[in-house]
Amino acid sequence: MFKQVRAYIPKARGVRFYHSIDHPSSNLIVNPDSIESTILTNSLKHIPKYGFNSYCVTKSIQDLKYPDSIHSVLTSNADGKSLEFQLMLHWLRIQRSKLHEHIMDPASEFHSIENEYERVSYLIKQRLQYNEPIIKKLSYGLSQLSTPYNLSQSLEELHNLSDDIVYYAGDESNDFAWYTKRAGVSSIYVASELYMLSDTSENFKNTKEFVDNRVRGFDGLGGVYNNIEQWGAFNAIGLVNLVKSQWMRG
Amino acid sequence: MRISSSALRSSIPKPFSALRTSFRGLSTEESTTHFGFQTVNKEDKEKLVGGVFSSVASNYDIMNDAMSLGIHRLWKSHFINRLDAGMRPGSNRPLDFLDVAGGTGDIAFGLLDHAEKKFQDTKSTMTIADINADMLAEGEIRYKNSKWNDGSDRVNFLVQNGETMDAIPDNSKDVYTIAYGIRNFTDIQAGLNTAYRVLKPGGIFACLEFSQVDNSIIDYAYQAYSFSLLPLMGQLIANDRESYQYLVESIRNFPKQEEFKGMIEKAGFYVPEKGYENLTFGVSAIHIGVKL
Ligand SMILES: C[S@@+](CC[C@H](N)C(=O)[O-])C[C@H]1O[C@@H](n2cnc3c(N)ncnc32)[C@H](O)[C@@H]1O
Repeated sequence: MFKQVRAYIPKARGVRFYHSIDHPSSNLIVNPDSIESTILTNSLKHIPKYGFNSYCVTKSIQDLKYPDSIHSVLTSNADGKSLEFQLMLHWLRIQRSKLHEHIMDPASEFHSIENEYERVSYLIKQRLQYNEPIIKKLSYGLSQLSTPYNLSQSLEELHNLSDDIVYYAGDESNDFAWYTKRAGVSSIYVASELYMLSDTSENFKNTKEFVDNRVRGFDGLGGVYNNIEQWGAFNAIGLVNLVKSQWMRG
Repeated sequence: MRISSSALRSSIPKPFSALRTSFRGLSTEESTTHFGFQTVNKEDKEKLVGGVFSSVASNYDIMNDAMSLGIHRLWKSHFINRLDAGMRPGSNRPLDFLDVAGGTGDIAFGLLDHAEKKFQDTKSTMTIADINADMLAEGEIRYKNSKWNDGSDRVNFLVQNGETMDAIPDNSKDVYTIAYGIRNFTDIQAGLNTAYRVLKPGGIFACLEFSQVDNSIIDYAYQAYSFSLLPLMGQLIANDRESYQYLVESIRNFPKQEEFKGMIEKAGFYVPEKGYENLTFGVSAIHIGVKL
Protein backbone atom coordinates (compact mmCIF):
# COMPACT_ATOMS: atom_id res chain seq x y z
CA MET A 1 0.00 0.00 0.00
CA PHE A 2 1.03 3.55 -0.48
CA LYS A 3 2.24 5.70 2.34
CA GLN A 4 -0.32 7.75 4.18
CA VAL A 5 1.88 10.28 5.86
CA ARG A 6 4.85 12.25 4.68
CA ALA A 7 7.18 13.12 7.44
CA TYR A 8 8.94 16.00 5.83
CA ILE A 9 8.39 18.00 2.69
CA PRO A 10 11.19 20.30 1.59
CA LYS A 11 10.08 23.86 1.04
CA ALA A 12 13.31 25.29 -0.19
CA ARG A 13 14.56 26.81 -3.43
CA GLY A 14 11.62 29.01 -4.19
CA VAL A 15 9.51 26.30 -5.77
CA ARG A 16 5.90 26.19 -4.67
CA PHE A 17 4.37 22.90 -3.72
CA TYR A 18 0.77 22.88 -4.41
CA HIS A 19 -0.65 20.21 -2.26
CA SER A 20 1.89 17.62 -1.29
CA ILE A 21 1.68 18.40 2.39
CA ASP A 22 -1.87 17.18 2.77
CA HIS A 23 -1.50 14.89 -0.14
CA PRO A 24 -3.88 11.99 0.42
CA SER A 25 -6.79 14.41 0.22
CA SER A 26 -5.36 16.82 -2.31
CA ASN A 27 -8.05 19.23 -3.34
CA LEU A 28 -8.91 18.44 -6.89
CA ILE A 29 -11.73 20.82 -7.61
CA VAL A 30 -11.96 23.88 -5.43
CA ASN A 31 -15.65 23.55 -4.78
CA PRO A 32 -17.47 20.85 -6.74
CA ASP A 33 -20.90 22.12 -5.68
CA SER A 34 -20.39 25.67 -6.86
CA ILE A 35 -22.40 26.89 -9.78
CA GLU A 36 -19.25 27.29 -11.87
CA SER A 37 -18.25 23.68 -11.27
CA THR A 38 -21.74 22.39 -11.92
CA ILE A 39 -21.88 24.14 -15.30
CA LEU A 40 -18.36 23.13 -16.30
CA THR A 41 -18.72 19.52 -15.22
CA ASN A 42 -21.89 19.20 -17.24
CA SER A 43 -20.14 20.86 -20.21
CA LEU A 44 -17.63 18.03 -20.40
CA LYS A 45 -20.11 15.64 -21.95
CA HIS A 46 -20.28 17.87 -25.02
CA ILE A 47 -16.53 17.85 -25.62
CA PRO A 48 -16.42 14.65 -27.70
CA LYS A 49 -18.77 16.34 -30.15
CA TYR A 50 -17.81 20.02 -30.06
CA GLY A 51 -14.27 19.97 -28.73
CA PHE A 52 -12.89 22.42 -26.19
CA ASN A 53 -15.18 25.12 -27.44
CA SER A 54 -17.21 27.66 -25.48
CA TYR A 55 -20.26 26.20 -27.19
CA CYS A 56 -20.06 23.26 -24.75
CA VAL A 57 -20.66 25.72 -21.94
CA THR A 58 -23.61 27.30 -23.70
CA LYS A 59 -25.05 23.84 -24.32
CA SER A 60 -24.53 22.92 -20.70
CA ILE A 61 -26.30 26.06 -19.49
CA GLN A 62 -29.21 25.20 -21.73
CA ASP A 63 -29.25 21.58 -20.49
CA LEU A 64 -29.38 22.82 -16.94
CA LYS A 65 -32.20 25.22 -17.85
CA TYR A 66 -30.33 28.26 -16.61
CA PRO A 67 -30.92 31.59 -18.34
CA ASP A 68 -28.16 32.79 -20.65
CA SER A 69 -27.28 35.46 -18.11
CA ILE A 70 -25.47 32.83 -16.06
CA HIS A 71 -22.66 32.77 -18.63
CA SER A 72 -21.29 35.88 -16.94
CA VAL A 73 -20.35 33.89 -13.83
CA LEU A 74 -17.69 32.21 -15.91
CA THR A 75 -16.81 34.94 -18.39
CA SER A 76 -16.16 37.49 -15.65
CA ASN A 77 -13.88 35.32 -13.53
CA ALA A 78 -11.33 37.46 -11.77
CA ASP A 79 -8.30 35.98 -13.57
CA GLY A 80 -9.62 36.66 -17.03
CA LYS A 81 -9.49 33.03 -18.11
CA SER A 82 -11.31 32.38 -21.40
CA LEU A 83 -14.22 29.95 -21.41
CA GLU A 84 -12.17 27.53 -23.51
CA PHE A 85 -9.29 27.56 -21.08
CA GLN A 86 -11.62 27.12 -18.10
CA LEU A 87 -13.17 24.17 -19.85
CA MET A 88 -9.77 22.63 -20.52
CA LEU A 89 -8.57 23.13 -16.94
CA HIS A 90 -11.75 21.71 -15.57
CA TRP A 91 -11.49 18.70 -17.80
CA LEU A 92 -7.92 18.12 -16.61
CA ARG A 93 -8.96 18.35 -12.97
CA ILE A 94 -11.82 15.95 -13.46
CA GLN A 95 -9.49 13.43 -15.11
CA ARG A 96 -7.05 13.84 -12.26
CA SER A 97 -9.79 13.16 -9.76
CA LYS A 98 -10.82 10.11 -11.79
CA LEU A 99 -7.27 8.82 -11.48
CA HIS A 100 -7.43 9.51 -7.78
CA GLU A 101 -10.63 7.51 -7.45
CA HIS A 102 -9.09 4.70 -9.42
CA ILE A 103 -6.16 4.58 -7.00
CA MET A 104 -8.45 4.73 -4.00
CA ASP A 105 -10.47 1.80 -5.27
CA PRO A 106 -9.16 -1.23 -3.33
CA ALA A 107 -10.14 -3.48 -6.24
CA SER A 108 -8.00 -1.72 -8.79
CA GLU A 109 -5.18 -3.59 -10.42
CA PHE A 110 -2.80 -0.87 -9.33
CA HIS A 111 -2.45 -2.35 -5.86
CA SER A 112 -0.96 -5.58 -7.14
CA ILE A 113 2.01 -3.74 -8.65
CA GLU A 114 4.97 -3.42 -6.33
CA ASN A 115 7.74 -1.82 -8.28
CA GLU A 116 7.82 1.98 -8.14
CA TYR A 117 8.69 2.31 -11.85
CA GLU A 118 5.90 0.02 -12.88
CA ARG A 119 3.47 1.91 -10.75
CA VAL A 120 4.46 5.16 -12.44
CA SER A 121 4.08 3.54 -15.83
CA TYR A 122 0.71 2.15 -14.88
CA LEU A 123 -0.61 5.47 -13.61
CA ILE A 124 0.54 7.41 -16.68
CA LYS A 125 -1.12 4.86 -18.94
CA GLN A 126 -4.28 4.90 -16.84
CA ARG A 127 -4.45 8.67 -17.06
CA LEU A 128 -3.78 8.68 -20.80
CA GLN A 129 -6.63 6.24 -21.25
CA TYR A 130 -9.03 8.97 -20.12
CA ASN A 131 -8.02 10.93 -23.21
CA GLU A 132 -9.48 8.35 -25.54
CA PRO A 133 -13.05 9.67 -25.88
CA ILE A 134 -11.81 13.14 -26.76
CA ILE A 135 -8.53 12.31 -28.45
CA LYS A 136 -9.57 13.95 -31.71
CA LYS A 137 -10.26 17.21 -29.88
CA LEU A 138 -7.28 17.11 -27.60
CA SER A 139 -4.71 18.95 -29.67
CA TYR A 140 -6.83 22.09 -29.71
CA GLY A 141 -7.26 21.81 -25.94
CA LEU A 142 -3.51 21.43 -25.48
CA SER A 143 -2.88 24.48 -27.61
CA GLN A 144 -5.04 26.42 -25.13
CA LEU A 145 -2.80 25.26 -22.33
CA SER A 146 0.37 26.35 -23.97
CA THR A 147 -0.53 29.91 -24.93
CA PRO A 148 1.79 32.13 -22.91
CA TYR A 149 -1.02 33.77 -21.00
CA ASN A 150 -2.29 30.42 -19.71
CA LEU A 151 1.00 28.70 -19.25
CA SER A 152 1.60 29.10 -15.56
CA GLN A 153 -1.75 27.61 -14.62
CA SER A 154 -1.29 24.82 -17.13
CA LEU A 155 2.07 23.93 -15.65
CA GLU A 156 0.56 24.02 -12.20
CA GLU A 157 -2.01 21.47 -13.25
CA LEU A 158 0.66 19.30 -14.89
CA HIS A 159 2.75 19.52 -11.76
CA ASN A 160 -0.23 18.42 -9.68
CA LEU A 161 -0.70 15.40 -11.87
CA SER A 162 2.96 14.39 -11.67
CA ASP A 163 2.92 14.96 -7.96
CA ASP A 164 -0.04 12.61 -7.60
CA ILE A 165 1.58 9.98 -9.78
CA VAL A 166 4.95 10.05 -8.06
CA TYR A 167 3.41 10.15 -4.63
CA TYR A 168 1.09 7.21 -5.17
CA ALA A 169 3.83 5.26 -6.87
CA GLY A 170 5.45 5.24 -3.45
CA ASP A 171 7.98 8.02 -3.51
CA GLU A 172 9.49 8.81 -0.16
CA SER A 173 12.18 11.22 -1.19
CA ASN A 174 12.49 14.44 0.69
CA ASP A 175 15.53 15.90 -0.97
CA PHE A 176 16.33 17.08 -4.41
CA ALA A 177 15.21 13.79 -5.92
CA TRP A 178 11.77 15.05 -5.12
CA TYR A 179 12.07 17.66 -7.88
CA THR A 180 13.81 15.37 -10.28
CA LYS A 181 11.15 12.75 -10.12
CA ARG A 182 8.29 15.11 -10.62
CA ALA A 183 10.01 16.93 -13.43
CA GLY A 184 10.84 13.60 -15.02
CA VAL A 185 7.28 12.33 -14.80
CA SER A 186 5.98 15.63 -16.19
CA SER A 187 8.22 15.41 -19.19
CA ILE A 188 7.39 11.75 -19.80
CA TYR A 189 3.73 12.51 -19.44
CA VAL A 190 3.80 15.39 -21.93
CA ALA A 191 5.86 13.46 -24.44
CA SER A 192 3.54 10.45 -24.18
CA GLU A 193 0.43 12.56 -24.54
CA LEU A 194 1.83 14.19 -27.66
CA TYR A 195 2.77 10.77 -28.98
CA MET A 196 -0.78 9.62 -28.35
CA LEU A 197 -2.22 12.41 -30.49
CA SER A 198 -0.88 10.82 -33.62
CA ASP A 199 -1.00 7.20 -32.53
CA THR A 200 -3.22 5.13 -34.80
CA SER A 201 -2.35 1.70 -33.39
CA GLU A 202 -5.10 -0.44 -31.96
CA ASN A 203 -6.07 0.56 -28.41
CA PHE A 204 -3.14 2.95 -28.45
CA LYS A 205 -0.82 0.00 -28.04
CA ASN A 206 2.15 2.02 -29.29
CA THR A 207 1.51 4.79 -26.81
CA LYS A 208 1.55 2.30 -23.96
CA GLU A 209 4.87 0.92 -25.16
CA PHE A 210 6.17 4.41 -25.50
CA VAL A 211 5.31 5.11 -21.85
CA ASP A 212 6.92 1.88 -20.65
CA ASN A 213 10.12 2.61 -22.53
CA ARG A 214 10.34 6.15 -21.32
CA VAL A 215 9.77 5.24 -17.70
CA ARG A 216 12.27 2.41 -17.90
CA GLY A 217 14.81 4.80 -19.38
CA PHE A 218 14.36 7.24 -16.57
CA ASP A 219 16.86 6.53 -13.85
CA GLY A 220 15.92 9.39 -11.60
CA LEU A 221 13.15 7.54 -9.87
CA GLY A 222 15.35 5.42 -7.66
CA GLY A 223 17.64 6.79 -5.02
CA VAL A 224 18.86 10.27 -4.44
CA TYR A 225 19.52 12.04 -7.68
CA ASN A 226 20.92 15.48 -7.45
CA ASN A 227 21.04 16.35 -11.09
CA ILE A 228 19.92 19.86 -11.76
CA GLU A 229 20.26 19.35 -15.48
CA GLN A 230 17.56 16.77 -15.33
CA TRP A 231 15.24 19.38 -13.95
CA GLY A 232 16.33 21.86 -16.56
CA ALA A 233 15.72 19.38 -19.34
CA PHE A 234 12.06 19.84 -18.79
CA ASN A 235 11.14 23.44 -19.16
CA ALA A 236 8.17 25.47 -20.14
CA ILE A 237 9.52 26.63 -23.47
CA GLY A 238 10.13 23.08 -24.51
CA LEU A 239 6.57 22.18 -23.68
CA VAL A 240 5.14 25.07 -25.63
CA ASN A 241 7.16 24.23 -28.69
CA LEU A 242 6.29 20.58 -28.51
CA VAL A 243 2.62 21.24 -28.26
CA LYS A 244 2.71 23.88 -30.97
CA SER A 245 4.50 21.64 -33.41
CA GLN A 246 1.97 18.90 -32.72
CA TRP A 247 -0.91 21.23 -33.12
CA MET A 248 0.36 22.51 -36.46
CA ARG A 249 0.54 18.96 -37.69
CA GLY A 250 -2.88 18.01 -36.36
CA MET B 1 -11.77 69.77 -23.81
CA ARG B 2 -14.91 70.00 -25.80
CA ILE B 3 -16.67 72.78 -23.95
CA SER B 4 -15.17 76.12 -23.10
CA SER B 5 -15.23 77.03 -19.46
CA SER B 6 -16.99 80.33 -19.96
CA ALA B 7 -19.86 78.61 -21.74
CA LEU B 8 -20.18 76.17 -18.89
CA ARG B 9 -20.03 78.76 -16.21
CA SER B 10 -23.25 80.33 -17.39
CA SER B 11 -25.10 77.07 -18.15
CA ILE B 12 -24.45 75.07 -15.02
CA PRO B 13 -26.58 75.57 -11.94
CA LYS B 14 -24.98 75.68 -8.56
CA PRO B 15 -26.92 73.51 -6.18
CA PHE B 16 -24.39 73.78 -3.43
CA SER B 17 -24.65 77.36 -2.41
CA ALA B 18 -28.27 76.77 -1.48
CA LEU B 19 -27.60 73.46 0.21
CA ARG B 20 -24.64 74.58 2.18
CA THR B 21 -26.84 76.85 4.28
CA SER B 22 -29.07 73.93 5.15
CA PHE B 23 -26.17 72.00 6.65
CA ARG B 24 -25.99 74.37 9.58
CA GLY B 25 -29.22 73.38 11.27
CA LEU B 26 -28.44 69.66 11.28
CA SER B 27 -28.58 67.96 14.63
CA THR B 28 -26.11 65.15 15.07
CA GLU B 29 -28.75 62.75 16.44
CA GLU B 30 -30.49 62.42 13.11
CA SER B 31 -29.52 59.45 10.96
CA THR B 32 -26.57 60.52 8.92
CA THR B 33 -24.63 59.34 5.89
CA HIS B 34 -21.60 60.50 3.99
CA PHE B 35 -21.68 63.26 1.48
CA GLY B 36 -18.09 63.19 0.44
CA PHE B 37 -16.33 63.79 3.75
CA GLN B 38 -19.15 65.81 5.17
CA THR B 39 -21.56 63.78 7.24
CA VAL B 40 -25.07 64.76 6.32
CA ASN B 41 -28.66 63.80 6.92
CA LYS B 42 -29.76 60.82 4.79
CA GLU B 43 -32.65 62.53 3.05
CA ASP B 44 -30.45 65.46 2.21
CA LYS B 45 -27.90 63.24 0.53
CA GLU B 46 -30.35 62.25 -2.17
CA LYS B 47 -30.95 65.91 -2.91
CA LEU B 48 -27.27 66.68 -2.76
CA VAL B 49 -26.39 63.86 -5.11
CA GLY B 50 -29.19 64.93 -7.44
CA GLY B 51 -27.67 68.38 -7.40
CA VAL B 52 -24.22 67.13 -8.22
CA PHE B 53 -25.39 65.16 -11.19
CA SER B 54 -27.70 67.89 -12.43
CA SER B 55 -24.81 70.26 -12.29
CA VAL B 56 -22.59 67.95 -14.27
CA ALA B 57 -25.18 66.16 -16.39
CA SER B 58 -24.20 67.56 -19.73
CA ASN B 59 -20.49 67.30 -19.26
CA TYR B 60 -20.18 64.25 -17.09
CA ASP B 61 -17.99 62.58 -19.70
CA ILE B 62 -15.37 65.22 -19.09
CA MET B 63 -15.65 64.56 -15.40
CA ASN B 64 -15.26 60.84 -15.85
CA ASP B 65 -12.26 61.39 -18.09
CA ALA B 66 -10.67 63.46 -15.39
CA MET B 67 -11.45 61.03 -12.59
CA SER B 68 -9.95 58.05 -14.31
CA LEU B 69 -7.13 59.68 -16.21
CA GLY B 70 -9.19 59.08 -19.31
CA ILE B 71 -9.33 55.32 -19.11
CA HIS B 72 -12.88 54.93 -17.85
CA ARG B 73 -13.88 54.30 -21.46
CA LEU B 74 -11.55 51.32 -21.58
CA TRP B 75 -12.87 50.05 -18.28
CA LYS B 76 -16.44 50.31 -19.45
CA SER B 77 -15.75 48.34 -22.57
CA HIS B 78 -13.75 45.83 -20.53
CA PHE B 79 -16.73 45.52 -18.18
CA ILE B 80 -19.05 44.84 -21.11
CA ASN B 81 -16.70 42.28 -22.65
CA ARG B 82 -16.19 40.42 -19.43
CA LEU B 83 -19.91 40.18 -18.81
CA ASP B 84 -20.27 38.82 -22.34
CA ALA B 85 -24.04 39.00 -21.94
CA GLY B 86 -26.68 38.30 -24.55
CA MET B 87 -29.13 35.71 -25.74
CA ARG B 88 -27.06 32.87 -27.20
CA PRO B 89 -27.84 31.51 -30.65
CA GLY B 90 -30.19 28.58 -30.28
CA SER B 91 -31.84 30.04 -27.21
CA ASN B 92 -35.36 31.38 -27.34
CA ARG B 93 -35.35 33.38 -24.15
CA PRO B 94 -34.31 37.01 -24.64
CA LEU B 95 -32.69 38.64 -21.63
CA ASP B 96 -34.09 41.58 -19.72
CA PHE B 97 -31.30 44.00 -18.90
CA LEU B 98 -31.50 46.70 -16.27
CA ASP B 99 -28.81 49.36 -16.20
CA VAL B 100 -29.07 51.32 -12.97
CA ALA B 101 -27.60 54.80 -12.55
CA GLY B 102 -27.47 54.47 -16.29
CA GLY B 103 -27.12 58.21 -16.87
CA THR B 104 -26.50 58.83 -20.49
CA GLY B 105 -26.72 55.19 -21.49
CA ASP B 106 -23.06 54.40 -22.20
CA ILE B 107 -23.19 50.99 -20.58
CA ALA B 108 -26.70 50.18 -21.78
CA PHE B 109 -25.95 50.85 -25.44
CA GLY B 110 -22.60 49.11 -25.11
CA LEU B 111 -24.30 45.98 -23.74
CA LEU B 112 -26.88 45.93 -26.52
CA ASP B 113 -24.16 46.40 -29.11
CA HIS B 114 -22.13 43.54 -27.70
CA ALA B 115 -25.15 41.20 -27.61
CA GLU B 116 -26.00 42.00 -31.21
CA LYS B 117 -22.47 41.82 -32.63
CA LYS B 118 -21.41 38.71 -30.78
CA PHE B 119 -24.62 36.69 -30.53
CA GLN B 120 -26.88 38.27 -33.15
CA ASP B 121 -29.19 39.04 -30.25
CA THR B 122 -31.72 41.64 -31.37
CA LYS B 123 -34.44 40.67 -28.93
CA SER B 124 -33.19 41.32 -25.42
CA THR B 125 -34.66 44.36 -23.70
CA MET B 126 -32.98 47.20 -21.83
CA THR B 127 -34.29 49.40 -19.04
CA ILE B 128 -32.16 52.38 -18.13
CA ALA B 129 -32.90 53.70 -14.65
CA ASP B 130 -31.48 56.77 -12.98
CA ILE B 131 -32.55 58.94 -10.08
CA ASN B 132 -31.79 62.04 -12.05
CA ALA B 133 -34.17 63.09 -14.82
CA ASP B 134 -31.57 65.41 -16.38
CA MET B 135 -29.10 62.58 -16.78
CA LEU B 136 -31.78 60.35 -18.29
CA ALA B 137 -32.81 63.13 -20.63
CA GLU B 138 -29.26 63.16 -22.01
CA GLY B 139 -29.56 59.42 -22.53
CA GLU B 140 -32.90 59.76 -24.28
CA ILE B 141 -31.50 62.32 -26.69
CA ARG B 142 -28.71 59.92 -27.57
CA TYR B 143 -31.21 57.10 -27.89
CA LYS B 144 -33.49 59.02 -30.26
CA ASN B 145 -30.60 59.46 -32.68
CA SER B 146 -29.35 55.90 -32.35
CA LYS B 147 -30.10 52.72 -34.26
CA TRP B 148 -31.84 51.36 -31.16
CA ASN B 149 -34.71 53.75 -31.83
CA ASP B 150 -36.16 51.34 -34.40
CA GLY B 151 -39.75 51.19 -33.22
CA SER B 152 -39.19 47.88 -31.42
CA ASP B 153 -39.55 49.54 -28.03
CA ARG B 154 -36.77 47.40 -26.60
CA VAL B 155 -35.22 50.31 -24.72
CA ASN B 156 -36.95 52.11 -21.86
CA PHE B 157 -36.00 54.97 -19.57
CA LEU B 158 -37.21 55.18 -16.00
CA VAL B 159 -36.61 57.72 -13.28
CA GLN B 160 -35.97 55.51 -10.27
CA ASN B 161 -34.08 55.54 -7.04
CA GLY B 162 -31.81 52.50 -7.18
CA GLU B 163 -32.30 51.91 -3.48
CA THR B 164 -35.99 51.10 -3.88
CA MET B 165 -36.90 50.83 -7.59
CA ASP B 166 -40.59 50.69 -6.81
CA ALA B 167 -41.54 50.54 -10.51
CA ILE B 168 -39.51 47.37 -11.12
CA PRO B 169 -41.26 44.13 -10.10
CA ASP B 170 -39.57 41.33 -8.16
CA ASN B 171 -37.80 38.61 -10.18
CA SER B 172 -38.15 40.46 -13.45
CA LYS B 173 -34.58 41.06 -14.74
CA ASP B 174 -31.74 38.86 -15.96
CA VAL B 175 -28.79 41.22 -15.90
CA TYR B 176 -28.40 44.14 -13.48
CA THR B 177 -25.52 46.47 -14.26
CA ILE B 178 -24.38 49.56 -12.44
CA ALA B 179 -21.31 51.54 -13.46
CA TYR B 180 -19.90 54.34 -11.36
CA GLY B 181 -23.29 54.75 -9.71
CA ILE B 182 -23.57 52.78 -6.49
CA ARG B 183 -21.11 54.85 -4.49
CA ASN B 184 -23.61 57.69 -4.75
CA PHE B 185 -26.35 55.71 -3.03
CA THR B 186 -27.27 56.90 0.42
CA ASP B 187 -27.78 53.34 1.55
CA ILE B 188 -25.62 51.03 -0.54
CA GLN B 189 -26.88 47.90 1.19
CA ALA B 190 -30.46 48.84 0.32
CA GLY B 191 -29.36 49.22 -3.30
CA LEU B 192 -27.84 45.74 -3.27
CA ASN B 193 -30.90 44.24 -1.62
CA THR B 194 -33.05 45.83 -4.28
CA ALA B 195 -30.80 44.44 -7.02
CA TYR B 196 -31.37 41.00 -5.52
CA ARG B 197 -35.10 41.57 -5.37
CA VAL B 198 -35.54 42.57 -9.02
CA LEU B 199 -33.33 39.84 -10.49
CA LYS B 200 -34.72 36.51 -11.61
CA PRO B 201 -33.07 33.34 -10.31
CA GLY B 202 -29.98 32.84 -12.45
CA GLY B 203 -29.71 36.59 -12.85
CA ILE B 204 -26.41 38.43 -12.65
CA PHE B 205 -25.46 41.49 -10.65
CA ALA B 206 -22.47 43.33 -12.07
CA CYS B 207 -20.95 46.50 -10.74
CA LEU B 208 -18.13 48.65 -12.05
CA GLU B 209 -16.95 51.20 -9.54
CA PHE B 210 -13.99 53.30 -8.57
CA SER B 211 -12.18 51.43 -5.91
CA GLN B 212 -9.28 51.26 -3.52
CA VAL B 213 -5.90 51.15 -5.14
CA ASP B 214 -3.94 48.16 -3.89
CA ASN B 215 -0.44 49.50 -4.16
CA SER B 216 0.60 52.16 -1.73
CA ILE B 217 2.80 54.19 -4.07
CA ILE B 218 0.24 54.27 -6.82
CA ASP B 219 -2.40 54.95 -4.22
CA TYR B 220 -0.45 57.93 -2.98
CA ALA B 221 -0.01 59.30 -6.47
CA TYR B 222 -3.64 58.76 -7.33
CA GLN B 223 -4.86 60.38 -4.16
CA ALA B 224 -2.59 63.33 -4.60
CA TYR B 225 -3.82 63.62 -8.12
CA SER B 226 -7.46 63.25 -7.30
CA PHE B 227 -7.52 65.55 -4.30
CA SER B 228 -5.53 68.42 -5.67
CA LEU B 229 -5.75 68.34 -9.41
CA LEU B 230 -9.25 67.06 -9.99
CA PRO B 231 -11.15 69.70 -8.07
CA LEU B 232 -9.11 72.31 -9.84
CA MET B 233 -9.89 70.78 -13.17
CA GLY B 234 -13.50 70.65 -12.14
CA GLN B 235 -13.38 74.31 -11.37
CA LEU B 236 -11.88 75.06 -14.73
CA ILE B 237 -14.32 72.80 -16.48
CA ALA B 238 -17.48 73.72 -14.73
CA ASN B 239 -16.72 76.40 -12.21
CA ASP B 240 -18.27 74.02 -9.75
CA ARG B 241 -15.56 73.03 -7.36
CA GLU B 242 -17.85 71.47 -4.75
CA SER B 243 -19.42 68.98 -7.13
CA TYR B 244 -16.06 67.64 -8.14
CA GLN B 245 -14.82 67.64 -4.60
CA TYR B 246 -17.81 65.51 -3.74
CA LEU B 247 -17.02 63.04 -6.49
CA VAL B 248 -13.46 62.61 -5.32
CA GLU B 249 -14.46 62.21 -1.71
CA SER B 250 -17.25 59.77 -2.48
CA ILE B 251 -14.64 57.49 -4.02
CA ARG B 252 -12.54 57.59 -0.85
CA ASN B 253 -15.57 56.76 1.28
CA PHE B 254 -16.71 53.82 -0.81
CA PRO B 255 -16.13 50.45 0.92
CA LYS B 256 -12.99 48.52 0.04
CA GLN B 257 -13.25 45.56 -2.36
CA GLU B 258 -13.46 42.85 0.32
CA GLU B 259 -16.00 44.78 2.34
CA PHE B 260 -18.14 45.49 -0.69
CA LYS B 261 -17.99 41.82 -1.67
CA GLY B 262 -19.32 41.00 1.81
CA MET B 263 -22.20 43.42 1.29
CA ILE B 264 -23.10 41.74 -2.01
CA GLU B 265 -23.18 38.39 -0.23
CA LYS B 266 -25.24 39.88 2.56
CA ALA B 267 -27.85 40.91 0.01
CA GLY B 268 -28.22 37.20 -0.81
CA PHE B 269 -25.99 36.86 -3.85
CA TYR B 270 -23.61 34.02 -4.49
CA VAL B 271 -20.21 35.53 -5.26
CA PRO B 272 -18.01 33.35 -7.47
CA GLU B 273 -14.34 32.60 -6.67
CA LYS B 274 -12.45 35.72 -5.78
CA GLY B 275 -15.52 37.80 -6.53
CA TYR B 276 -13.99 40.91 -7.98
CA GLU B 277 -11.47 41.98 -10.55
CA ASN B 278 -9.23 44.98 -10.00
CA LEU B 279 -8.61 47.17 -13.02
CA THR B 280 -5.43 49.22 -13.26
CA PHE B 281 -4.19 48.46 -9.72
CA GLY B 282 -7.67 48.82 -8.30
CA VAL B 283 -8.52 52.34 -9.43
CA SER B 284 -11.68 50.59 -10.58
CA ALA B 285 -13.03 47.15 -9.78
CA ILE B 286 -15.66 44.82 -11.23
CA HIS B 287 -17.85 42.95 -8.76
CA ILE B 288 -20.11 40.07 -9.71
CA GLY B 289 -22.93 38.31 -7.91
CA VAL B 290 -25.44 35.65 -8.92
CA LYS B 291 -28.95 35.17 -7.64
CA LEU B 292 -29.28 31.43 -7.30
C1 LIG C 1 -21.05 58.98 -12.64
S1 LIG C 1 -22.67 58.73 -13.24
C2 LIG C 1 -22.48 57.20 -14.09
C3 LIG C 1 -23.32 57.09 -15.32
C4 LIG C 1 -23.13 55.85 -16.20
N1 LIG C 1 -23.50 54.62 -15.52
C5 LIG C 1 -21.72 55.75 -16.72
O1 LIG C 1 -20.98 54.87 -16.29
O2 LIG C 1 -21.38 56.54 -17.58
C6 LIG C 1 -23.55 58.35 -11.75
C7 LIG C 1 -25.07 58.26 -11.92
O3 LIG C 1 -25.65 57.74 -10.73
C8 LIG C 1 -26.94 58.31 -10.60
N2 LIG C 1 -27.42 58.09 -9.24
C9 LIG C 1 -26.95 58.60 -8.10
N3 LIG C 1 -27.65 58.14 -7.03
C10 LIG C 1 -28.60 57.31 -7.54
C11 LIG C 1 -29.64 56.53 -6.96
N4 LIG C 1 -29.86 56.51 -5.63
N5 LIG C 1 -30.43 55.79 -7.78
C12 LIG C 1 -30.22 55.78 -9.12
N6 LIG C 1 -29.26 56.51 -9.73
C13 LIG C 1 -28.45 57.27 -8.94
C14 LIG C 1 -26.67 59.74 -10.97
O4 LIG C 1 -27.85 60.43 -11.29
C15 LIG C 1 -25.74 59.60 -12.16
O5 LIG C 1 -26.44 59.55 -13.36
